[in-house]
Amino acid sequence: MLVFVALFVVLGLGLNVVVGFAGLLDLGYVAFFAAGAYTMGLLTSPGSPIDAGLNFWLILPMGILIASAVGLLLGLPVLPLRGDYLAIVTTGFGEIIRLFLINRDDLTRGSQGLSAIPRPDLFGYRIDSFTEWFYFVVAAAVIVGFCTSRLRDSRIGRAWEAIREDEDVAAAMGVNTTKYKLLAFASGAAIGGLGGVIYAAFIGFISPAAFSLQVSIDVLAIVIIGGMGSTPGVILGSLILIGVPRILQFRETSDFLANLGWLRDGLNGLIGAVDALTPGSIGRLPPAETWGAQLADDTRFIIFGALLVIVMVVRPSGLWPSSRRRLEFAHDDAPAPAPVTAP
Amino acid sequence: MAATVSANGSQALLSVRDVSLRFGGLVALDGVSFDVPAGKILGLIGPNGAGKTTMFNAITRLYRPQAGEIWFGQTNLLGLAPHEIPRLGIARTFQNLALFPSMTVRDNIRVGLHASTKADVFSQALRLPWVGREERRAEQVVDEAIDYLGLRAVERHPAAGLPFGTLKRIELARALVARPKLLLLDEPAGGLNHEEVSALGALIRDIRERFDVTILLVEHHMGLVMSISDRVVVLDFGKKIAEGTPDEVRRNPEVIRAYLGVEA
Repeated sequence: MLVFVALFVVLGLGLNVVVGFAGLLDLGYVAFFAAGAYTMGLLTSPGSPIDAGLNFWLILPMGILIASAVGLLLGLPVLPLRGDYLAIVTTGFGEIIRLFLINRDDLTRGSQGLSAIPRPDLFGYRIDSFTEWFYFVVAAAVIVGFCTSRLRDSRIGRAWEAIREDEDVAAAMGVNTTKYKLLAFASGAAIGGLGGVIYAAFIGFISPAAFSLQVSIDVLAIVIIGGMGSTPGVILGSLILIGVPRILQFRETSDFLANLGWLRDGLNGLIGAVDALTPGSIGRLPPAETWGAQLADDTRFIIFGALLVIVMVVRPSGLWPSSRRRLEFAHDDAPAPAPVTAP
Repeated sequence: MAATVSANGSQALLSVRDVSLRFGGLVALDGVSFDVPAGKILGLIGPNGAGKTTMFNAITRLYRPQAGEIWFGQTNLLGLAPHEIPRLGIARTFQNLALFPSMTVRDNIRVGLHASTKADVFSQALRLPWVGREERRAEQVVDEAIDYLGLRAVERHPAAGLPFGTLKRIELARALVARPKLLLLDEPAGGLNHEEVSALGALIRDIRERFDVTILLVEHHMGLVMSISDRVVVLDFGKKIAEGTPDEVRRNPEVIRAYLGVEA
């Protein structure tokens, strides 16, 4: 599970470049993830028609390059689009890639997927156990995080930010908006591709079903919940969005809930009171011996969704906003410094 | 062709030739020509809607004129994209303030350096040594501008929420860090009070000396234009109706008519 948290940190950092830095709302991020994963799958799975048995470390840069090429492919037609329109087109793009993977079954083996993707070696040592994978993916996340935060505090990051704030003024300041928007798509896509290659090597089996719109939405939610443009925010967002649903799934969680008999009684009392006012409006909680399991299972997404809503209401700028975003949301209450007179 | 020598023999930095621009049926600029002599301050005045800001936007290529040429040295600006203009050494401020509201004052000013720095995505992500040197030089330039315009106290504050006069100075700093040869100021005195305007006049003259920059100034505040401009060009309904020294322009009957209306 922690491997997935780390993997989604990588993806979140990539999408953060596109959405958080440059302000381009991209809902097709899964396409780049898929491009990286299928680069790995097609070149190493024995079931693939173009299996070349290549080494993971050779495929890694290839996957990154191919994903950024896909990023440019998406970037070019959507250059003039902004905001909502961009979100719609990128959603479609993600779906196109998924349908392509299903339908070109002569190449991708369609929904059967590609299996037996080998795991990588590191200096002759095979990365195999979950613990090893966790450290491996965390190392990748650290490198990616270092690069993206370097980029943010540079002329490139400021050019992206300027485009996000006002494209026309950015151009008037000498920012080539076409180039920098494409650069944002390509960099974000490159990181998505990196995540894809790692994912394929970790899971060992990929099929189009794994690259649904839900992945794009999850990654976007990580970026937004964590705080747009913020690197620690992405880490926190991934822990919560990828970690919490899985924690709710645990047997221990349902046992824990089963022990909270007083909570069940209290809720039942409340329900009884409502029922007395408007008869038959709501049912009862499940019986005591199963309600923990049922809560953890059936309703975990309801609990999870409620948590997300609460987070967004309480902290609209995200759990760990970037310092700039924090200012953006706070400047209304903070007194402006006294005006300085011209020299 | 490059019209680099103006009528009075001095070297022209910017040369506007027969520029016409229409928005649909509305003629915003109608065959306007004038020169901005190097090292001078040229005031561009005219009643509301005369086409002054349109002329600015044509020079910085936010608008595309249907006819005419705009020469900056040997380069016809109309063949360039908007983002290529600052690289030539042309910087501007905006009439309605065009700062990036959620970026800090310092970052706003840093964006002004975009055209004169060149770190690319790979050397930046890896933070190669020359990138570090470039950033340090840039920081120095930004610091100078911040001190020069008295913005030290607000440098870490986001631009949104600051007083109007301060925002004007941030825009000015952002334009100056690029070390432009030509500075376009669009109504720098708009919204300022009386003392601020006279301080601004002194500041603009000081900027010309210190940064050795040619200035094209659009302004409604007659007192300011007349006191600091070397030459004045008057537009009315998209046409140039007068050009000369402030004194000549002030006495020009066409100009008086444009401002005060036709005598009954």
